[in-house]
Amino acid sequence: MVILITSDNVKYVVEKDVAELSVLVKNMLEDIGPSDEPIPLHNVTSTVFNKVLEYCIYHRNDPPPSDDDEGCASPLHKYLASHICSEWDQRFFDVDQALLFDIILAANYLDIKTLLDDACKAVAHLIQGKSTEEIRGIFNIVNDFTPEEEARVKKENVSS
Amino acid sequence: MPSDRDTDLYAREMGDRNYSTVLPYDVWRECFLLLNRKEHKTLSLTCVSFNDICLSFLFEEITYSCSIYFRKSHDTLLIDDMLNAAQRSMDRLRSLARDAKLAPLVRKCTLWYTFNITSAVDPYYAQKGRDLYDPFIDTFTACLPSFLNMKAVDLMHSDSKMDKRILAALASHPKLEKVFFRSVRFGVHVTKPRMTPVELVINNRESDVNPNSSSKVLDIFSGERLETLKIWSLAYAPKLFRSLTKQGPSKCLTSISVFMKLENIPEFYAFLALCPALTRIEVELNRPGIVPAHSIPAKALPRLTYYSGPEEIAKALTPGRPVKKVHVHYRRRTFSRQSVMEDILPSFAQSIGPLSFLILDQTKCTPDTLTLISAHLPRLTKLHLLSPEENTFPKDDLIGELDNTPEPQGGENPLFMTCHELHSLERKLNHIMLHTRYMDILNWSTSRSGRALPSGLESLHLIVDSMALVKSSRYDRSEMPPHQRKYTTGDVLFALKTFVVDYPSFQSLSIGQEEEYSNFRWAKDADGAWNLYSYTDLTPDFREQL
Repeated sequence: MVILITSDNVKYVVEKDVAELSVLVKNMLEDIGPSDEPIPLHNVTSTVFNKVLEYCIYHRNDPPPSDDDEGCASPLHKYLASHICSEWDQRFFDVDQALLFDIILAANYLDIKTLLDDACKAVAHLIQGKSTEEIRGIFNIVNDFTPEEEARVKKENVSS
Repeated sequence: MPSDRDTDLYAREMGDRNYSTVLPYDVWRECFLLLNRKEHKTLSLTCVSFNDICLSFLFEEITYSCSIYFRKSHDTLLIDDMLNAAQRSMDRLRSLARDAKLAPLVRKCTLWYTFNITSAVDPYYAQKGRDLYDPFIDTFTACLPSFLNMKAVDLMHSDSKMDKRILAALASHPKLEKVFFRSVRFGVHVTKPRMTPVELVINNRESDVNPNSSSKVLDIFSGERLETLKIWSLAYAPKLFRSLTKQGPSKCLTSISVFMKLENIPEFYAFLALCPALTRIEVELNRPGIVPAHSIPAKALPRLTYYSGPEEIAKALTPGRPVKKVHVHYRRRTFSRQSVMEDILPSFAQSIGPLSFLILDQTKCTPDTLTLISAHLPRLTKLHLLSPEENTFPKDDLIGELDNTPEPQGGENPLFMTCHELHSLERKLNHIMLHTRYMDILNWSTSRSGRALPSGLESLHLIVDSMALVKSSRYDRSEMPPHQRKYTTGDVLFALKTFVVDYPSFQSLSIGQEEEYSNFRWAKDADGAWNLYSYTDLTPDFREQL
């Protein structure tokens, strides 16, 4: 078992194989060797870590992602890779947008590639088929182009 | 898990954030990678940071094209459209090349042009069309150096000779690594300096015209940096091989794929002898026939691990080399398969790989074939063979006695079926047929004494020839083939369980046109349980029967 402490001082006792889905935790465990010392997760709150943990427990037996997946992927694999294919994953990412983004940040910090990839698909799904204005609305984006810049971008879009 | 109240509070706290600044650039990039070009254009208009990310997608690949295709029947409006489109293409390329921010983003350029003007076209317009040719080529050659980071160029179908100015410009680009030609016609066959690509593809399968047939060499490319070569051209393959052979060893080349004439094998072998790093060879010949007997030095190709192509070349290349995988395309149709197998398998046994993966895509799986393969290649772990025909394997077996009752025919009379019903029946019959084929092999293997297959076999795939499938169009409706004996899931699991006693490494049994799109694939999971996967949907009633 591994003890993890989130940034709001919530302690979790997690099975080692689940904790080691995080490359960050795995490396820390290798660095400190056998020890009961809790591992601090400075950038993750318990609210977010609950979700991360739920994902890791569900996916603990998945085959590890390989670096050359892209290179040898079949059309079917590529299709599946660009879609959230499991119903469980769809339900898992059906959360408030703020939480979704914090899951991404946590996955990035904890270095959990599959969670990061799946969460990116969820974000891409939010964008698909939306207009510029709708995307600004979804992500609270302020249009920070000057009128000249905006005209240039529109021109570039035509020529690209 | 957070309570609903916690989640609501959390959402209120975080809800006002400008999310474009929340995620790092690389993470947003990962998200945007999953989107298409239209969505990249939309995103690029939202804000400066998204624009920065999307520009790299939008300008990563550019196309420079021109279609001057004038016919007498074309009215002046259409001709004007073509002239204007060519002019716009030139203007865009110039503008992009001048833009210090955008030009370095270009990684790949697709160049396509045609200048085809018939003599019956109005001389005024014909001249206007012809006058565009030089500016079009010159614009490309003048702009090319501005695309500092361009690594790949794709030169697509052209009905005229490749302009030597383009070849010269490409040869002088310092970053160019990948060069793809499709349906190319080389007029000039010698250039100085040569292009030095890392990957070269010449794909002339659709059109393979050679306007300079007298030249014996195509001396445009250097073999110095070449790692991957695909030359699918009957006209240019021997010329390129002669040229590269003359240059000396192609030390970096690891992979070659060639479509060439049978009679050009001597040039091919001479080139192969100078490729010490080659690990993969794929060969396709223009016609079947006896491959000329040319030997390749025993010390050549010391790293060869994969070969795909005619069996005679496989026979020549495999012995004494570390070949692990061979994919044989059957060519010698005048010989019986048994004699061919007896001829080639001893050579495969001499691989120092050893050979562990064999694909014989025109060899039917029969008891004799399996016995021969097992005798010569005892260390084989993966085997693909053509699916057997009905009754190839003896039926007096264990499982046949468990359930040998004929499939009930109730209500399925093809004479009274709609097209949809007939199609469903056709699919069901094919499922039963394929299911029976692999079960017959399992049955035969488990019922005989002694091993019939290599002891370390991990997977067996049966390739389905589409001609072997039941097609209702091939039969009179009253003569659809009868349903065959059915095997239940229990039968399959019983057979697999018995089979793995003799073959403990066995993990996968599949049947289909390609392994990854198998109609049936039985695979063992980490706990040793067998599961059925199917690329195509099995008809519901067939699943129920299973």
